[in-house]
Amino acid sequence: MSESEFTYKIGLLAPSRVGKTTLIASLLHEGQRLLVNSQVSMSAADSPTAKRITLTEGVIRGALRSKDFEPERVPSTSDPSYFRLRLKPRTTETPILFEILDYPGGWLEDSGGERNAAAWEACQTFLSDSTVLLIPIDSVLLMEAEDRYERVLPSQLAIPQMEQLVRIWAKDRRHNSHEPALVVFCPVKCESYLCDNGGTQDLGAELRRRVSREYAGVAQVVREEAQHAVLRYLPIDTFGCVELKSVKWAEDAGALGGYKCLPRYRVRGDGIISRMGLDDLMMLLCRQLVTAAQSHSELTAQMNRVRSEHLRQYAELREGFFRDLWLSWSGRRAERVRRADASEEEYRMSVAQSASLFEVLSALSARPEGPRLTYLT
Amino acid sequence: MRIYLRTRGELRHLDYHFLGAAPSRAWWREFGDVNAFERPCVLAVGDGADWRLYLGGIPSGRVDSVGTMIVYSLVVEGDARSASEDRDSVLRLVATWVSAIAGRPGAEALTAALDEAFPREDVEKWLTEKGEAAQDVEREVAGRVLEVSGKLPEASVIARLPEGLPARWIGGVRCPGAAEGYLDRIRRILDGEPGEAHVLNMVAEGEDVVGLQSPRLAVLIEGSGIGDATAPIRSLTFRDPGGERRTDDPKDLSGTIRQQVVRVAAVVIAAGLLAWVIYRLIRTGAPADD
Repeated sequence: MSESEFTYKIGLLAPSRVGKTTLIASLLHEGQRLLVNSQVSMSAADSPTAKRITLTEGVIRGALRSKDFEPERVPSTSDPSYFRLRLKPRTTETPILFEILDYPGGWLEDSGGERNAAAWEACQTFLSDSTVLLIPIDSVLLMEAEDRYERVLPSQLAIPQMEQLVRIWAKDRRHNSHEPALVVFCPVKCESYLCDNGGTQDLGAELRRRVSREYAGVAQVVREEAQHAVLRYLPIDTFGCVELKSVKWAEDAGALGGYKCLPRYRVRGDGIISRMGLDDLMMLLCRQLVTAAQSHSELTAQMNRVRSEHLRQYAELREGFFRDLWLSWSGRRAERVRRADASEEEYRMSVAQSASLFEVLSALSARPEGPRLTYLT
Repeated sequence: MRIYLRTRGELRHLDYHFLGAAPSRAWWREFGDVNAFERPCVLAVGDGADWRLYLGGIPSGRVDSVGTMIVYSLVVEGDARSASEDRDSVLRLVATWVSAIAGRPGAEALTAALDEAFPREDVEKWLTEKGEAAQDVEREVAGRVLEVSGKLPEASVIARLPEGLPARWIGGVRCPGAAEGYLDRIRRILDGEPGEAHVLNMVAEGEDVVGLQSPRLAVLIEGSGIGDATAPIRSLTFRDPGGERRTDDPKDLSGTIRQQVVRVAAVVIAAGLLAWVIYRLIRTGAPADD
């Protein structure tokens, strides 16, 4: 990840079995296609990332083969792994690199346990360093927990642990307030609750209301600690062709809140994947990363300008007849001029890069956002 | 010999953890660029004294809260002085799992035996065990894993070991002779030979494992997602410690050493010849003694 000066992290915050791995793999697998007519292109930055995406996508497609969706085919994560991607703006040579960390969601709930404390600490560092925080939310759990089952939500959604981590992240963002900061609340598996992608009922408003209610504390922490951070809301159809068949709640003393949710899914129609919301998420991420790169580039350009002016002044400084004569004779004056020229060139290049990134950003911003993407107020 | 078992509970919050104690170091994560640990795989590393094994992606009959299949990962760490019966037990576990990965019957037997030895109630209790209790659980887990191994068939496939395998090779897990060669390498590692033997699931060709620089390396391609499980056995490229010179196999380095000897000899002869010519010139140019 050292080939670019622009390297960013995207953190995912969700408990176990929400679908972090599937979301990452789907996002990155479709990324290429989603960005076809945009100002940026995306590719895997290394071979393990390409293979992880292929493997997960293959498993998802396999799980969609039968009429009943077989989530058991999509294994849950047992060890942390990294997805490394390269975003290439079309008008600049410098790629923007970004990393996404996938980790066992259960670690969020028990801080890795005593057996994974060190690995969890590394995950926490990654999360607090992230420019963007994605919060995938299990919409089935959220929407089906009614009446007496509602009380399982804070513990099963790991809200207290999430608030703690978001506070660390937000404090870190406050210290880096020159960088943009973004939190995206992404309910996933929304196929059964929205009607713009083949679904029969529109419970979009209710879904949003419940997200706002359950995650009010998380949003509050962000507002308190990092006022410049932007909060967005974007429901996602992870597959588009899978819908909820039935949900049963079973009493279980060991389950958080005393009850466990047992959903069953079926594959809609021919099982052709038609994800929804991923294009907006991809554009949101691209805009955020290009914005971060552009502000970084502007900062670099400013620093280069100061440095270049200083070196030019130093190169042209008159230090008295004999000293000037010696500087010319010894070649030191020429050396100073050469350094000033090089610095000026560096400054010109950083200005050009900043302008080019601004151009890309303007083009990305001009693309209209889908109706699902809104601000969380 | 120490045995650790990792799995998860049915309930959402009981994510993957070792039952009782965990290995002191998650050494298998060093292979994260070539392997996904939730999927079927085997990792074996021996340094001549100690050895360690990771068997991952072994399916359980249990499912979690959203119906996802739960898997077991088994970590075994020991040395050449470990009791031979224990090493036989480990070899039997590896043989059964490799055979299952290759698509031969066996996975069901391993799954059934593990599920019987580790019922849901014990798993969910032990996942949360801490402190001294965790040490007791570790002993219990080790005992039960050895019992599981005792129920598995003997690792007889080693009898059909193919001839002339190079020191470093790669092949599909279903390629004739590859699993046998692999298990022979595992046996040697358990007996104290240095080397590595892996069944990897994010590898399609030799180029993918250039980062694995053990002079004795056997790699089986798992093949269910990436790569061909029937790929023929090929010797692997080897980068010497200088990182520059590459050859198909470490044994070919002997050829390189021969070449170096010839080069040194040629330089010595040339230097001698040059010295003789200079000497003759001096002698010819010098005035006669008399």
